[in-house]
Amino acid sequence: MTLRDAPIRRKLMTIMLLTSGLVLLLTCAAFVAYEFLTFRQTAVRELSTVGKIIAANSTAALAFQNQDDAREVLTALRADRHVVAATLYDSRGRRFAVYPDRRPPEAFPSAPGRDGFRVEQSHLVGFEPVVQGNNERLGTLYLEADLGALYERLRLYATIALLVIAVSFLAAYLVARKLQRQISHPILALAETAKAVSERHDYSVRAPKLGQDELGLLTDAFNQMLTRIQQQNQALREGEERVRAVVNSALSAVIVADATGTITDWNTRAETMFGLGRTEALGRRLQETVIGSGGLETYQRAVDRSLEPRAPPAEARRSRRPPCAPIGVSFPWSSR
Amino acid sequence: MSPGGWAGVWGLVWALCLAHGGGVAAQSAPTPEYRLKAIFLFNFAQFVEWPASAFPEPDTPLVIGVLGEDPFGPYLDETVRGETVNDHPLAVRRYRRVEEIGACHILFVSRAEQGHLGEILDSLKDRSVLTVSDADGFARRGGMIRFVTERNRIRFRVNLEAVRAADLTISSKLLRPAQIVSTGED
Repeated sequence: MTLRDAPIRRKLMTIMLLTSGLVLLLTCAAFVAYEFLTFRQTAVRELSTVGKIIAANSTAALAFQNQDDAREVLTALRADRHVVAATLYDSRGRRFAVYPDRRPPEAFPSAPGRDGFRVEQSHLVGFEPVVQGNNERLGTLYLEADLGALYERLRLYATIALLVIAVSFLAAYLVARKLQRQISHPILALAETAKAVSERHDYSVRAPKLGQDELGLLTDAFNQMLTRIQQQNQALREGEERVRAVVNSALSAVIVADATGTITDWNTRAETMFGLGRTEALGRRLQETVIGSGGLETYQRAVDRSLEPRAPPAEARRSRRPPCAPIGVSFPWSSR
Repeated sequence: MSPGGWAGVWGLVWALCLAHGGGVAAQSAPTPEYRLKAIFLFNFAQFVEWPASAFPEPDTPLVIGVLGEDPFGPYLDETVRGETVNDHPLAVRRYRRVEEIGACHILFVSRAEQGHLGEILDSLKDRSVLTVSDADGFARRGGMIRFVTERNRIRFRVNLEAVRAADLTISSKLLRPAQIVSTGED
C-alpha cells in the first residue's frame, strides 16, 4: 500500500517517525563523523598532554639521575591503558628509565628522535623534551600509544550513537502515537459522520467539534451544511404536502403526465372519476389508462407540438395566440 | 629494565662508589663522583628560587662558591661554562675562609671543613645562600643539602627548615628524589 492510500493515522505516524528518525540519524552521523575525522588529532593532543605532564614530573629525576624516581613517574602511565610504552632518555640520549619493565629493550628506540608526535603504522609515537624552566634540556621522553585502543573508543561512540537513536526513536514513536490524535481524531470523526450521511441518508447526525483550528472550522461548516440540507428537505416535504392537499380537494380530476406519457400525479377526484386508486395509477401510461383509442393520435400530436422549441415570447405576445392548442380528446366514460 | 642497556649506567655508578670508598685519596684528585656532584650543583640552581634581592641586576651572575679544598678539579667550571639559569650567567668562585664569601648563591662546603661546620653555618645565617656539602651530619647541623651515597647512588638530604629560614624557595620536584631531614635529627 502506498502512503497516498494509507489511513490518515498511519500517514501521520509515518511522517512524524520518518522526520524524527532522519533528524536523529543525521545528528548522530554528524557526531560520529566529527569524532572519526578529529580523533587522530585528539589522540595526538591527548598523548602530547600526557607527555608534557610526565616530562614535567621527570625533570628532577633526570637532573639528579634518580632512576627509581624516573621509573615511578613512568609507572603512573599505567592509568592510561592506551600508552603501551614509554622511555626517558638523559641529556646525552641514553636510555634512563623504561615502562613497562617487562618489554624487551629492542622494542624501544635506541636514541631519541625528532620532537613531536606522529602516527606510525598502528601506533602513535612521539618525543617530548624534558626541560626545567627555560634552561637547558635535561632529556627526552618517548611515548607510544596503541591506536587500536583508540579505534575501540570510536566503536564505543558508534554503539552509543545507535543506542541513542533506538531509544529516541522509541520515545518519538510513543509521543507521535499520542500527538497524532490531535489531527486524526477530528478528521476521523468528520469521515464517520460523512459516511453515516451518505449510507443512511440521515441528515440529523452532526460531527463532534474537537478544537478551534481549521478542522474545527471545517466541522462547523460541514454541520451547518447538514442543518441547511435538513431544513430544505423539511421545507420541500411541507410544500409537497400543501400542493397535494390543494390538488386532492379540487373538484376536477387532475392528472399529470411527463413527456413519455407516464402518469406522475393522480388526485382524489381522478380516483373516483376513473375508478382507479392513486397508487395503481401512478407509473402507468396515460395513453392506456385515460385516453381512448380514438383520441390517441390527437393527443400524440398535441404532445409533439408542445415539445417543439418555443417561439420567442415577444412574437407569441404579438400573435396573441395561446402557446398550446387545447387537446381535443374524448374520455371513455363510465357512470359507475 | 634491560640488563644490557643499563650495564653502562650501573658500571658508572659502581665506579663512583668505589671512588668514593677510596676516601682521602679522592680528596686530592678529582673523581667521576665529583663530576656528577658538579652537575647536581648546577641543577640545584634550576630548582631553587632566590629572593629578588639576591639578584640586584637582571644579568647579575649566579655564583656557585666552593669553600675550602676544591674536590671538583675542572668539572665544576666545565659544567657551568656558557650556561645560564633564568638569564643569569653562572660563575664559580673559590673561598679559603668563610669571611671571604661575598655575593654567593650556592655554596659547596668541602669535606675538609668538617670541623668548622658550626661557625660556617652560623656566619651564613640570615643570608640567602643555598648551602651544600657532603660532610657528615651537614643537613642535621643546619646545612641545607647534603650529598649521601646510598646503594651506589648519589642521593641528597634536604633540611627544609634551613631552606625556609634563608628565604629560599625549593621546587617540590627537587624534593621528590630527596630525603627530608630536620635540624638535630639523626
